[in-house]
Amino acid sequence: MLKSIQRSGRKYWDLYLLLIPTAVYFVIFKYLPMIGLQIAFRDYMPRLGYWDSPWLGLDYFRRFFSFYSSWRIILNTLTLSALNLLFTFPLPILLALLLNEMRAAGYKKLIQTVTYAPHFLSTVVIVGMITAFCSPSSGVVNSIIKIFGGEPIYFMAKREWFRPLYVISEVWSTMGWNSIIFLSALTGVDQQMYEAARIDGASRWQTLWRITLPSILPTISIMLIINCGHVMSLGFEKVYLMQTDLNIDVSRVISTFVYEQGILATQTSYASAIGLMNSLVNFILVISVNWISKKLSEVSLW
Amino acid sequence: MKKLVSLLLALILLCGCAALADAGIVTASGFPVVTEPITFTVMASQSAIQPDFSTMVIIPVYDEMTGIKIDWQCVASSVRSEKISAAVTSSEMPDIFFKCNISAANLQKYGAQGAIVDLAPYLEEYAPNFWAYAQENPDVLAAVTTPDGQIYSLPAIADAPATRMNKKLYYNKVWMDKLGLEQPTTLDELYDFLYAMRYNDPNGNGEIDEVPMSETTGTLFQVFGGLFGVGNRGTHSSYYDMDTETGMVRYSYTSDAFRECLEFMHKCYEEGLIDQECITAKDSRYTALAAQDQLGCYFATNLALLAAKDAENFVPAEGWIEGAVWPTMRSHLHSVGAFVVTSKCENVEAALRWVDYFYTDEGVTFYHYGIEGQTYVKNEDGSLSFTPEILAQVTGDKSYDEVVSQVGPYCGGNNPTMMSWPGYAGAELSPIPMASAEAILPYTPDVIWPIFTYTDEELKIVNSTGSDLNTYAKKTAVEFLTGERELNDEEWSAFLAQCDEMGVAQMLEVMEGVIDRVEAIMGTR
Repeated sequence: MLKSIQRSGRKYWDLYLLLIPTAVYFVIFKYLPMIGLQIAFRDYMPRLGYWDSPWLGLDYFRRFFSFYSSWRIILNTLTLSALNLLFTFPLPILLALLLNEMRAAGYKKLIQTVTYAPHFLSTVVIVGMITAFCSPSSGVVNSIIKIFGGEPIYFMAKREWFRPLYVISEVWSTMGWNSIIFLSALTGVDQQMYEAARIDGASRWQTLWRITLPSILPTISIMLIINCGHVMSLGFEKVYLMQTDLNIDVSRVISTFVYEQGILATQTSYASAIGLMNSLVNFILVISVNWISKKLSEVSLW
Repeated sequence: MKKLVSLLLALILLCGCAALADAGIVTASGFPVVTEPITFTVMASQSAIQPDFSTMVIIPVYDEMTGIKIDWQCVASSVRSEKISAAVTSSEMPDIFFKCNISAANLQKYGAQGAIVDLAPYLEEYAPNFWAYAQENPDVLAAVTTPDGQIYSLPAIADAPATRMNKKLYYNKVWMDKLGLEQPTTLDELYDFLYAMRYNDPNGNGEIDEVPMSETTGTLFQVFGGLFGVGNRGTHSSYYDMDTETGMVRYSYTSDAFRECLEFMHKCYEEGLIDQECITAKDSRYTALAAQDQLGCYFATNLALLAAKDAENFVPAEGWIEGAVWPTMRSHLHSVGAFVVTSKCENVEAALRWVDYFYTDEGVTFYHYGIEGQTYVKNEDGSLSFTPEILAQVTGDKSYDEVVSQVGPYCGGNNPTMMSWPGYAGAELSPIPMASAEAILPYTPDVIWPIFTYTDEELKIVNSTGSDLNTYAKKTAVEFLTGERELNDEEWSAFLAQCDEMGVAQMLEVMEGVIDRVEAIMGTR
């Protein structure tokens, strides 16, 4: 083992050299800061520092789980994430497949540009747009509802509309961008297979099912595994900005709770503990999804 | 650079030693403050429009007056909290944190670690002006004193009523004239007043698009709650107040009076007298409504957010509903953490003498307006304004705040001084907000609880049980307001039961203790 490392080290030293900056980056910016994670177990006082603040063990975790609303917050996080994944994951694949089948190059480019564009808008702008579009008095959505004789709906104040609004806007803003990786996978599919299929008399539908999809399946699996790693970490800004008094029941998630406790109430240690727990769940999810994927399709991250 | 730093360090060290060697260099009163020149390093929070503090007009003048040289370390207000905690964590602290708006919780934390100095033993002798003010207005003292009796900061003080009333009331005069309306003085009149504004088409476009009243739900609950006697301890305490009948602390949202308030509000909301979009309302909405001639009543601290031509439509309130409370009133304390002395400082006495001048009328004027004749002039009505030469610099590229920041450091708030008439240079002291505040002042609570400080134990409960309860109560109140949930006996008792389960009793016990402590200092109990 050691010997083989030595041998490859001598042989490919230039490649290893190229690896160093990235490795250094990860050590400095990702691993060293983990020393600070211990404040989740301590009563952190800046002056005493990470090592000398009094040790509290699992106090903060106990406190979180004995907190009245903790389960509701966890449940909200999971529901919103699952819904989000359910829609924002398959739709880019669908879009990529559609674009791939498209023959008119100019139109295809147009569609691509239009669907990418929202990716570059900041969350604050997107939420501002949602609020403006959904306003019961002046919003465009309600104007349309009124034209068809319906009653205007105050979307932002309805608990049942929070999740749909979140997911729809998320799909709108990420679909085009996320389809890029699938499009690039599609260009890698061997054209000879399509030709062979056509000669054998396969319809377009059949080539899609039998050739295109299986060819990009590894990419899809990998992307799914990576996405599962983010299940618990919903974007904080968007949920927080969309929160109103009336949807608070469903819009209070772990990340907004961490903000409330850590930043607004300056309980750094408590917030870190909740954040740490959150990351732990993500970590377990990635590992297990990776393991399942390995068993089922022999595709995995490692 | 390195040389400069070491020179500076040497200088600071030298001054420090000098101060240590002779604590008696501080004079008893007046200027200069010290008999031998000393230097303080001061970390100051600087907003984006402010220049380096050392270039401001009043700074060298004050250095000269006091004999204390200030070495300013300006940190951008956006990264202030990180800089402060970094400074406290390392040993490279400044002598003083200035305008840094350090929260009460952090002050207690830093104080417990010994990073900052307890000023309580020094105040009477070395900050006599602040001390005198705090004796007269014990709510200030109550807010800066920790549960253990230390005082870690000098605060920003709001003295003029117009600066203490965070929401004032202005009526749309054009609409009132058109409809022949008088300002309401009873509950029924208020309802009729709003009703007329909504349905008698005062903006004359033939559509019912008028919004008689718009605000955030939080402010609406305060203002309407006040109509029924809820919120009788001021704006800092929007969830707890005093039950005037039993003399006990109560949770406002579960009181019978608040139920009455919700019933009235729901009636107004259903009829469109309250903005249908109040749940997502923010400042930009009122500005837009006013611009489209759709707004009847405007609540704000001043009219600065309205376009000049829209602001002309509004007149100050001449009073309020008889027997009602106007709860949106601050204590005399605007914010804590404006002036904090660290354990690095070798001469706490001199530091306090340095800042204490700003708590005199003369000092307030100096802090905001600078020097008479040179940077400001007195107007006939007793108010002050910057000189025409300074105001002439306000152009399209340069805002008012940016221009006047050349004179003194007040922009960005949290100043260790007083917002008092006439020396304070904020928009609250312009005539219309002043008039509104004067007229509503008789309706404000007699006793106003300051922002509370908590012990560690209390804080844990307040931040978990307390904030959870408040979130739930506010949410349910909004549901009752919009009619999402019908306000009947059954739903109301379900709401009370849920609040009970979430720990109202425990919270009341905690708050009872906190309030006892505060009122003992204020001398109101």
